[in-house]
Parts: sequence; C-alpha cells; structure tokens
Amino acid sequence: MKKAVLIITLLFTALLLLGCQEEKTPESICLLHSEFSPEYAIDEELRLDNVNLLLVYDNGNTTKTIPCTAEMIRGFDTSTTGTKTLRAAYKGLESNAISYTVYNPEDISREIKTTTRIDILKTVSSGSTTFDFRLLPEDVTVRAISFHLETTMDLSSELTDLVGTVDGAMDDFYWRKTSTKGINILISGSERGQSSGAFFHLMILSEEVDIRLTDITVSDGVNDYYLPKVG
Amino acid sequence: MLACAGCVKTTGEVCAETERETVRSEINAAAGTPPIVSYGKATNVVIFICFSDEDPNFIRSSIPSDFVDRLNGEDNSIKDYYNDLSYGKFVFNSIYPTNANGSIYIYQDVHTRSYYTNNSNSSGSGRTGPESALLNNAVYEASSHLSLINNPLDVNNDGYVDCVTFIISGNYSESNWNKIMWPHSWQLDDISKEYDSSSSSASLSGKKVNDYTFLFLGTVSTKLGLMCHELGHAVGGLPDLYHYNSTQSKYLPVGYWDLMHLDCDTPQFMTTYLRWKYLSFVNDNQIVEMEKSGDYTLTPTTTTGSDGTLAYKLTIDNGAATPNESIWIEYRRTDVSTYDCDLPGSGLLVYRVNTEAKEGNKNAKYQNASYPDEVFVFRPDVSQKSSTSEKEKENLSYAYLSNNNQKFSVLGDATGTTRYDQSCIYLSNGKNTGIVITIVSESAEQVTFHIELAGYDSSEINYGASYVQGNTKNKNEVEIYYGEDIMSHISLFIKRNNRGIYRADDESITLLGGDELYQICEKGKNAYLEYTDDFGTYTFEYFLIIHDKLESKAATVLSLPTKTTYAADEEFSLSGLAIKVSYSSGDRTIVYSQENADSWTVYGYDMSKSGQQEITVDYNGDVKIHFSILVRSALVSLRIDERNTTHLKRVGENPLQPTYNVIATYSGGLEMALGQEEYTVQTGTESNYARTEVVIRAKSDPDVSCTGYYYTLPSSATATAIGMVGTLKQSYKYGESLDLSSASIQITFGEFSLDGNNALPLNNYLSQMDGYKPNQPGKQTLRVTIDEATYPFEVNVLPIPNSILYVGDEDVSVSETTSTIVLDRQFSLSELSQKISCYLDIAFTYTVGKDEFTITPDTYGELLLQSDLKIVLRNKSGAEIKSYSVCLSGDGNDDGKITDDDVVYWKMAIINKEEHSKGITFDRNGDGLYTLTDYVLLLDRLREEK
Repeated sequence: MKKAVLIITLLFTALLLLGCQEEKTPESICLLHSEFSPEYAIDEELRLDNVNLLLVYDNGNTTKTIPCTAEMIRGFDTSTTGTKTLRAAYKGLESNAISYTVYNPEDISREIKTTTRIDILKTVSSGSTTFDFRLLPEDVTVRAISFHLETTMDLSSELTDLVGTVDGAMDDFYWRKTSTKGINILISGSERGQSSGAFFHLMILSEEVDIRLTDITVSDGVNDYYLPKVG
Repeated sequence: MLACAGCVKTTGEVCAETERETVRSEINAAAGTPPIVSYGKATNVVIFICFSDEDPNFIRSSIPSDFVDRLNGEDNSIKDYYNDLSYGKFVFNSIYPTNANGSIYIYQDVHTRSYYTNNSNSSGSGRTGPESALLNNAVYEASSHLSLINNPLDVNNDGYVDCVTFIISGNYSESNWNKIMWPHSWQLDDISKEYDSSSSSASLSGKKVNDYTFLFLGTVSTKLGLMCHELGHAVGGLPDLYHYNSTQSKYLPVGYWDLMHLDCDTPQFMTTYLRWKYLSFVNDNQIVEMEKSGDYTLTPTTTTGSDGTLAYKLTIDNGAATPNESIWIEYRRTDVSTYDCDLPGSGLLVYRVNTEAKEGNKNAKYQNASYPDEVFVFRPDVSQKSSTSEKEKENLSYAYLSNNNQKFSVLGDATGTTRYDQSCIYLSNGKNTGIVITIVSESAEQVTFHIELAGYDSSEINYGASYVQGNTKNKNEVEIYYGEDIMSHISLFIKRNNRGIYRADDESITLLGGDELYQICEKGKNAYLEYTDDFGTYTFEYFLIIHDKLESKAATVLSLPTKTTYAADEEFSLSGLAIKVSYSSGDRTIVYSQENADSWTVYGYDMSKSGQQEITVDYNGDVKIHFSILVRSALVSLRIDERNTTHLKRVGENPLQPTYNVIATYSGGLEMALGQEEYTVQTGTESNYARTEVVIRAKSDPDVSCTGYYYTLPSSATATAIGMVGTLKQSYKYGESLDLSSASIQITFGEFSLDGNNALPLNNYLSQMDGYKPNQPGKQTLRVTIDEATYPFEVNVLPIPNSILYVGDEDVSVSETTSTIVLDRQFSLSELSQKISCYLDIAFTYTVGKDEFTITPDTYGELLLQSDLKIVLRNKSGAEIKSYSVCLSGDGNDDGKITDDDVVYWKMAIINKEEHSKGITFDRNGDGLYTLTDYVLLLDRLREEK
C-alpha cells in the first residue's frame, strides 16, 4: 500500500513538474522580411497576418515560429510618412530591424510630417447637414488651412446652399467653386493660431449629403504641412 | 463584436452590456455600407441545433406546428412584419434545412448540453473555440439540407451570408448571462479566426457565415417579437433603444412603444423616427413639420399608407449650432392591425428625438444632457412601485395620450419650471418646452389633437437671429459692382422663434426700393428686402455697397492740357485736359477742374529742367495718360564731344563736311546734343594738310560758342597707314561701353602724317566700332579703317558677374535669373534709386498704356513702384545691357501699396494654385514657391503695417 502511495506521489510530482516547466528562453529572435509588408499607407494599422517570429535555440539547431502580435512590435508608426524601422521584442530579446515605408496614398510625393489631423463631425437636421471641422491632436499650431472639398451633391452656381462659419482662432475663410461638386476652401486666422478644437462649421442645405477633403495643407507661418485626406 | 440580444431578464430588467459590446448597426456604420434592407430583399437562414444528450426527434416535436408560418406566413410572421413595416419595399424570406421527408433538419452536436452550459468563459479562446466549433459544424452539416436556389444569400455582395439565425434547443438560464448559452449576436468568421488565425468560418454556396443571431427555441417559439428585434439589427442596422450600462438599464426610455427596446410577443411597430432614419422605409413627406399651434389629425401608424402622414414633428432650438432635438407625435392603436396589438393602449405617442445621440440609446444616461437618449417617450408619473424598472414600465404602460386614458389625457405644462417634470414636454436637459397637447377627438381610424406650441410657434420670426447674408463675411451686408444682380449675391436666413434657421427661397424675396436705390454708393446705404411666406410678409434691412467697376484701364484722351510749353520755373497746369473712362455704369467724361483737382496726380514735370519732359497723369488710381511738354531755360555753353566728331575735310567739300558732335549745356545742368541745323560753323583760311580753326555758335543764342578744327586734305589724298598712340583700354566689364578716350591714331597719307600733336582722337572713329558686343564675353577684334588703311586691335569682355545690380536694403531682392526685382515693402522711385547701384548706368522705364518712356528719380521721385516700372541697365553708349521688371511682393492689385484690397488676390492665388497673372510675386519667404505659409506671412505683414 505504501509502495502504491509512493508511486502515485512520484507520478503526481512528475506531472506537476512537467506542467510547471517554463518555456525555454530563445537565444535570439528574428522577424522575417518576406512575411512583413514593406509599405503602409499613412495612418494604416499594423498588418500581422501570417507574420511570424522565429525563435532560435541551441545555437541555431532548433527553431520555432510563433505568430507575431502587435504587443511585440516596437517602432511602428504610420502617423507620418517616410522610411522607418521596426523590431520585435520577445522575452527580453530584440529582433533584427525591418524597414518599412509609410506613404501618402493621395499623392506619394506629398510627405506628411505632422500628426495633426482634421476630424469632421456630421450632424443631420431638418433641411440641412452640418459638418463641424476639428483639429486634433496638438502638433502644429495652425495659422491657415486650405483644402479641396468634394460633396456628393451638385452645388449651386453661387454656393448659396452653403453656409460657412469659422471658429476658434480662425477668423476668415474664402472659397471658390471648382466643379459641380467641388470647392476649394482657404481658412485663416489670428496670429496666435490654433492647435486643436473646432475651427470651421459648414452647413449644407441638404439632408442627404456627404463630403470628402483632399489636398489638405496647413501652415504654422513657418512651414507648410500636408495632411491626409479625410472621408 | 459581441452583442447581447434585446431580451428581458426574468427580473424584468433589460440585460446590460459591457462596454465592448455593440450592435450590428455599428458594424454597418463603420463599414459605410448600406443596410441589407436597402437592397429590397434578403434571406434569413435558420439552423436548429440540439446536443448529443438530446433527441432531435423530441426537439423537433417541441417546435410549434405553426413555427414555419412565423417565418414566412401571410400574417404575424417575420416576412409579413417587415413587409408591412416597409410598405412592401423589403422582402425577407427565411429558409431552414430539411430532411428528405420534409421535416425540419436539426443539427445534433457531438457535445452534451452541459458541455456548453458549464462553460463559464465570456471571452477568449475558452469562449470562441467551443462556440465557433459548434456553429461551424452546424453550418457545415446543415448546408447539404438547405435549398439555396432562388434565395439570395449575399445581396450586398460582401462575401458573407447576410443573415443567419441559430435556434438552440430548450431555453437559457440567468446563470449563463453573457456566456455561450445566452441569446446574442456575433460574427462567426471573426471568432473562428480569433481562435485559430489559420481558419475561417464555414460557408454556404461559397459565402462565408459571419453575422449571426443565437436564439433559443423555448423563447422564439412564443416570442416572434424577439426574432424580429434581432433581425432588425442584422438587416436594418437598427440600434437598441435600451441603456447598456448596468446602472442605467433600469431606466426605460421607450419601453414597449418600439420593437428595438422591449419586444412584444407579437412584434409591435418601430417608432416612425426609426423607420425613417435607419430603415428608410418612410418618405420624408410622411413626416410633417408643425409650424403653428392648432389642430392636427393622424391615422394609426400600422394602417397609414405610404402617402399618408405618419407623424408630426417639431424641431426645437436647444442652443446647438444646428438644432438637434425634436418632438415627434404619432398615433398608435392596438385594435387595427396584427402588429401593435400587444401595446399597452391606444393613443398618441409623444416622444423626443435627439440626433446628437449616436447608436440609439445604448450610451444614454438617465436625465443627463451629456448622454441623451436618441428616442425618449413621454409618460405620466403615476406608478407607486418602488422598483425603478417596474415603476418605469408601469408609467410607460400609460404613455398613450388619450381621452380614454384617465392618467394621461393631457401632456405638457405651459408654465412649468421644474426640470425633468414628467407633466411637461421637456428637452434632454430637462428644460420645459411649454408645449401642451390635448386630444380633440379619437377613433380607431384617426385622432385629432390640439397643440399649443408656446414659444415655438413659427408664425413669429426671430429678427435678431435672422439675417441677410451677402458676399462679405459681415452679416446684413452686401457689396456689389454697379449693374450686378443683387440676388445672385444675397441670401436670406430666417429663424423662426426658437426653431432652426433655414434659407429662404429666392422666389420669396423681393428687393424694395426703386432704381435710385441701386445707384453707385461706395460708402454704402441702408436697403431693404421683403420676405413673404404663409405667415405673412416681413421686412429686413441690410447695408448695400455699390461700386462702380472700372471696365478698362485705357482712357481715351478727349483733349490734352492747353499749355504744352513752359518757361523755367513755371507751374504745371492740367487745365483743358478731358478724358473718357469706361465704368460698369457707362462711359464717363471727366474734365479737369479745381473741384476734382485732388483726383489727379502728375508725374514727370520738373520746372527747373529744360527740354522735353514726359508727363504722366493718373486719374483716381484708375487710369493713366501720358504726353510730352517742353521746358525752355537759358543756354549756358557749348562743347565738342570727340566721339564721332570728324576733323578731316577734302578740298572742295562743304566747310560743314567735318561733323561736330556739339553738346549744349542749359542752366540747371541739362546737356543735349545739337543737330547741325542748330548751330553755325565759322571757318578760317584753309590749305592742304593744314589745320584750320573754327568757331561754332548756337543759332538760338549766337553769344554762346565753342571752337573746333579740321585738316584739309587734297582730293586725291588716300590714307596709306594707321598707327596708334596712347594706352588703349582693352579689358571691359560685362556690358561696359567701349572707351577709346585714352588713345589717338596717327594717319599717314603718302608722305604726310597726322602724328605727334596732330594725331586724331580714336574716339572720332567710334561709329566704326559697331562690331563691339559689350554683352558678349571674350576677346573681340575691332578695326579702324580709313580709305585703304586698317588698324586692328583687340579688347576683352569679362564674363557676366553673379550680380550686376547691387542692392543695399534687405527689403529688396534681385533675381538675376528671372530678371526681377522684388520689393518686400512699399518703395518710391526716389527711395529705390538710392538703394541700388551698378557699374552701368541705371535708367527707369515707365509704361503707360502702350507708351514706354524713360523717367528719372528727379522727376518721378514720389512714384510708388508697381509692375509698370522697369529698371534698365545701359552702358555709356546708351546700349541696353539688361532690364529688370519690378514688383511689390504681395501687391495683388498692382497699386504700389499693400492694403486689405490685396488680400483677395492672395486668397485667389492659393485657391487657384497659381501666382498673380501679372507676375507679381507673393513668395514671401523667398523659397521660389507661393504656398500657404507665404499667405500667412503676407497677412502678418499687413497686420504690421496697420
């Protein structure tokens, strides 16, 4: 009986030890170039489908692949354009660097060097649709903004179906119709500029209209900055 | 994203959601895809599931015999419900797998029921693994039992089956809330991948299953409303109207008055607002905006045709930039249709809509304006129950406004001031609107109610908030050019009392005043327009500015100034000058007079200088004219310039044959070359090869004279050799004129030579040097040729320097490549002339109309520089070496000043993405481009100057 108890105890202990055994720390880790997308559009999220991390053990005699997760990646940033590098980190190890390029899909020649973005809040009410334009987050202190606005409806020749109002530090705007559905808009403001918050409100006298902004440029009075399209 | 079904817990409270949970409408909205209902038809695939420890035959027998009818039956079915709700615009067919004998196929899973009911995972692989396996296997097994022909599975062609409903045997229990065995909606392909990234969901006819609804047979067998509710999420993107937050779920904003909150067993209609906003089943003209107090009539929503009025609406100005709250009124009856029969009662339903709220009421908080309900039903405060949710339910059960409802026959209090007073019709912030609604008459067919709109009556215009919008940024201001159509520059925005603002139709506007009002008025004047609508006629005042627009910068000179010749120091006079200028109001003849003398500016007259003077006259900054006058002053002296003077004369030739370059100097320093007809030559005795002295006198003043000489040569004398003495300048800067002044030539005529003191200045032969190219760097060979004798000599022109023109002011920049001088601030000609220097002569050329003439800082010193000025570099010989155009950076209207008037040119250049058409640069930072930053810098500069 004692022997049986001893055997059971040993077996149980062995199983317990087996269960508690920690995963071995690899000697090095490697991100595979071929699996990683080398190009990302501005503001695009990390794509890790089929991206694996190679774990190397025993002087390279043993390897293992594990799916790469976003938490492992260091240096991924698509808020500005340019060629950048990222690495993976796992169990205190850092992988090889992989280069990737962030481009502006609207026009690859237009580098985006700011994290400032324009956000538009749409509100539909009886007879009209209001679009509230906001700056976020707080990267550039904006003195002037220009952009092309495309609507889903035909605009009247004199643009009398639009009502624009400036907000924040902006105190002036100017627009010009460029096509049946498009206008170019220039908004400018005081010397103090504006880094965040509402700067323009556009009311279009239609309940069924949407807009899209392209060719967005902001200036802080020193440099011009391109922004990604909106909508 | 996991979504909990809109079911009711046994405690009577609606189940709450965790923050990460959402509804399918969110998915549709995020993807920007229209809801399935917009495609007009869809298929609901229903798959039954039981477990290994259950008998499929027994489960099958527990399915009500009329269950199939509840899917596609003529009445009280999913198909019929959506057909009625959409006025036949949406055909929603359900299919289910069958066995060979026609009976319903039930998929039996490999696991027992307890395998799932004992699963305590609400997320993670412990949840997604078993659930995805169960449902993928069910789809896989059921696929061969489904008849998919003529049943569209993917109407929006997104690669996924539009709608799948899994019906699980038995019922669910409270203990399984938020776990597998609880009614919910989720995405099968997503959770399959989440569990195993290499896998995907099962497919039907090549379309993967993703969005699905997970319901229980024990519930749906009796509650058709629940199925319609869940399918509303799937095909309509409809939001839930209950509060998700667990502390807020006891507050019921809508209750049984809309399927998307509490579903009745027999599904009730959704509110007209949801049908209109999310499903687009309702035409805009079925919702009528109320504009004044009075009696209104409605028919029940379940029986109102597609051309009838479903609801009245009152938009409320709640202070938002765009009013986002409205009160809706519709008529609900329990006794006229299958649907709505389970409603608590028949009467008017009055509810508030807040479009600021997103995705229904899921994020709303009780009586909290920051988290408003999208839909909130007004109800009486009559319940005595202590449980909040029970109290809410009971109050909502009396929310039908009716004379038959003793607890709710009047809604509203015109004077109430208590926030969130349930006897009032109040806004999301609890403020009483003062609106009062009473029932006038009611029947099963229709209801007539009376509404007092209090401060929201549209018959009153809010003049303070209404305005005329012209083409300036100032409200109530219109600025036009004479002859333009005011209506094309004007809009009228009307604000009704406490209502939204809207633009009046142009047809409803009449401009007041006769023609005399619309004459030119640069300083502006008050004008009026009349607006007429159903409520009356209203007058609005605005400020009207009318400019006369210059049509052409070219003026016609009708008569020049009478006086064209002036004595020294005589005042200039424009008397007699008359011009014709074209304006939009027509041609205007303008005659100079003392009254309009301030409008004329004269450039170019110098009373102290003799000779011809080029005069420019500017009228009002609009047009310029140009003409010449003559100023005569005293002749002081004469001299001979050796350049191109000839000192040789053959026997028998006219004594005047030698030509003299005679220069006259007048008082004030003016030097002018005289023509041969302007002087006389008095000679002495001449003989061959002898020098003869001459006296040259001005014909205009014989007392003024100078002396010269010539040599007489025999008529047969021929030059046989030429030599040179002196040091000839051989190296020249780029553009520099030839300088022969330091050398003389010795000419031999056979045995006689003009050498020694008789050597002639080389300058006499300057006219022979036209082969000299001052702007052609490098060595050049020039020749002096007399008769048959030639003397060649070499000069060298140095390369062009990087900068020919030097400027001594940081506000002036020179571009040699574009030959442009850019001024960063306003300069007069006098000031600029002092800032620039060059080894060449600097001249200024002024263009007026088609005329181009040279001006000097002495005579045009005050002239503000514009693009009509050129700077010309000439050498001593008068040859033009280079010219520069001048522009004042940012001077859009080219008037020589930077003012507010230029801003519009800067804006246009940004908008049009092109620089000024006249080449005036706006490139403030000098990087070669005009960009938004230059525009900002130009604005800053304008501010500084102000």
